[in-house]
Amino acid sequence: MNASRKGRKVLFAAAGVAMALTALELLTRLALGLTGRDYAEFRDYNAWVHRASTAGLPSGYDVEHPLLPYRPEPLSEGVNSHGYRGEEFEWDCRPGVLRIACLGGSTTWDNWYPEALEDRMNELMDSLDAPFDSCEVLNFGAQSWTTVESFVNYATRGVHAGPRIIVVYHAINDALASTIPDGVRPEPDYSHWRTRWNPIPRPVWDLPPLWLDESRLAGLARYALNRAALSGIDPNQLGRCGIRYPYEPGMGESPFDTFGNNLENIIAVALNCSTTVFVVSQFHMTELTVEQFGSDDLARRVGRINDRAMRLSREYSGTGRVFFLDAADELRPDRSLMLDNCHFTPEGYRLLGDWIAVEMCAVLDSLEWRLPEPEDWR
Amino acid sequence: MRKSRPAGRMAGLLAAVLGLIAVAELSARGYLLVRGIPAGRYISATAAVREARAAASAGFDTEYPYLPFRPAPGRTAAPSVDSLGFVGPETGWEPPPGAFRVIFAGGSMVYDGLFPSAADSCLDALLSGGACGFDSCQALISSAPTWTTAENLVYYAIRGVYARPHAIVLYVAVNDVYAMSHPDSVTTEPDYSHYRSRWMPVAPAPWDRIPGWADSSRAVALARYALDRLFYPGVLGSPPRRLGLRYEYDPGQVVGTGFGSYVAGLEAIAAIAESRGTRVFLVSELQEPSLSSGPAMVAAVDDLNAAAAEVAARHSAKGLVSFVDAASLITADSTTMADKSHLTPEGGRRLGALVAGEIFRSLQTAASTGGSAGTAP
Repeated sequence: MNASRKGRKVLFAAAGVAMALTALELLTRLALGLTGRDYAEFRDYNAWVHRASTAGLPSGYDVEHPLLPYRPEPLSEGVNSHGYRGEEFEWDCRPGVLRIACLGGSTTWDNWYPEALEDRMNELMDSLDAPFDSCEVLNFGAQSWTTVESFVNYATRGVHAGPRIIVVYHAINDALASTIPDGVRPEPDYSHWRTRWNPIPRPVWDLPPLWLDESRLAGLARYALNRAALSGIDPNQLGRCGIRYPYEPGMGESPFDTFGNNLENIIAVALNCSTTVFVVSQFHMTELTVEQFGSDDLARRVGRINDRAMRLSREYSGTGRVFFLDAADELRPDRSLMLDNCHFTPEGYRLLGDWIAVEMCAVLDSLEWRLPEPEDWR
Repeated sequence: MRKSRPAGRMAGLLAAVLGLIAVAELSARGYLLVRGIPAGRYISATAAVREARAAASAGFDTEYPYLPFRPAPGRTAAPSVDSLGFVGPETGWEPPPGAFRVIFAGGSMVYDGLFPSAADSCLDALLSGGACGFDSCQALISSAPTWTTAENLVYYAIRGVYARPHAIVLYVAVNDVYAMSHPDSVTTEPDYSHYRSRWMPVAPAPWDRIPGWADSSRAVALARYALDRLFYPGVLGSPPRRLGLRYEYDPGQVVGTGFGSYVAGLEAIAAIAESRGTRVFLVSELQEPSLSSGPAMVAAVDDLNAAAAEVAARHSAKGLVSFVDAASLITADSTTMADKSHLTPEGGRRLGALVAGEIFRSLQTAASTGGSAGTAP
């Protein structure tokens, strides 16, 4: 008797809780309907928090650097103690070494082209009797970096490594950063497109699966907790690499000449340090862009940026220290050498590195290898 | 009788709650005693997290990707910030017609507006007759407390140049001295990242409203710690410091990074400005030695002022970079200095007048020799 009475009590309690939850769910739906609020925005916010928090700390990246949204984490896999991909190096360049620094995004960070450049330069310098014992190539690239990050890194850190030559290989990331969706106010430093990369700890209420958000009650409760814990952080600030929105063909374009301005800044700083600049147009395979996005919009944007790089390099050609290498026009890689519209396979990167080395050596040979010592500001 | 029963129940309930609190408190104290953990460890850890959370709402934008923090665009609280990120009333990327636009860059001595606004008024008066092709001055304040040459270089190069300034005035030294000073054990970095990290935003928590003195109760302190640990696991171990500074200045620290970051920063600013035909005025920083942190600090600021003069001399050929030796021309005393580095209103007025006079003289020289008045892209 007692047992069945207890069972009935539990059953009634469960039924009561279920009815209360159902009533609350209905009330929540009614409130949403009456206020005209779109539930999708709450659910999307929860999904943002889930993605950002489950990604954990960005593996291999330092997101606490004061002047960059992120950079390769010093001493992480494949990264030296200065935060650059590749072998350890001293800030002071060894005598007799021709030091070259490569500035760029993921196509530089991948490291195959800087490695190929170093190998080929060493071979060619031997055969051309260059007055250097060896060539050392530093990789100043990181995934998704634009010319803004490359400028900041070069001007505040890179110059202290004293490279005699820098190679700038940028276009597609600037093309992406220059896109402006409807309703977004363009900023000249791409801060409309990128913010800090905010790692956030996973809150306990993110543990229940996201499909539970089909219940408006559960979704709004999770949303309220997320907002309380992350107040002041915009959901658009939780994207990977700090990117606020993805690219879509047909987006508007920033009215600021940000790429040109940054390239001009890099050139000005380099020339002031007696450093020679090689600007290389970025290779982009249009047919792969069309396959990916159904439009050649991105390829045309990249083409415009490469044109800007060429015009600006020519404006500075009178200095005798700024040179333009048109990889986009002169390289003819087979499609099998491309991973996507701008990333090469290792063999493709070797083709790029070899080509830059040959073109660079031709220029340097014509200068009789007269490369001044970089300025030392100590 | 019937009235006393509810009162009795209330009293019983109160006693039960008090008893529970006492049990919780005794349990907490017993736990700490048995484990041999000093309560201060929890209290200081949560206090640091609380401080970090409170700092997030200080009117600075800590989400900007290229600086540890900047004045939040659109801030209405004093000092107000325009939508572009310049301290002061709303401006625009395009300079007003006829206006000579000057960017004032530096740290808190520029951010407080005393010296830039004085220079602005003086130049306005000097230019009002249409002299040198301009009829007014517009000062843009591009600075924040503790900014060094590194932050000023970045903000000018990737943002300030779009405001098409005719000139940039740079007044920074002591913040670089702080950034160059470090404990023995610190490995220095050329971009001062040994000294500063980004200023991490941490959202405030509801339990921050419980005052700090409540932590005298070990139960409250442990409860607060447990909540911080649950909701802010990454922050508790190494709470972010105000302005992203990693350590405090100490007069006994080593001064110098071995990189020449200050000179490299000024050189880069000068090179970028010159490439656009923009005038640069490097102003030596005033210091009141009797109020300084010690002779090492005084000597270090003097060294940087001398280095700024050398940068200007190296760029003299193009005629766009000038050195204004305010530290020699203005007496730093209780009339002009509020502390070792910050100006009084009178100090701001004198420095503003000096810099405005130098700018005006350089414009007159340019006008008489047919040189550039300072143009931007």
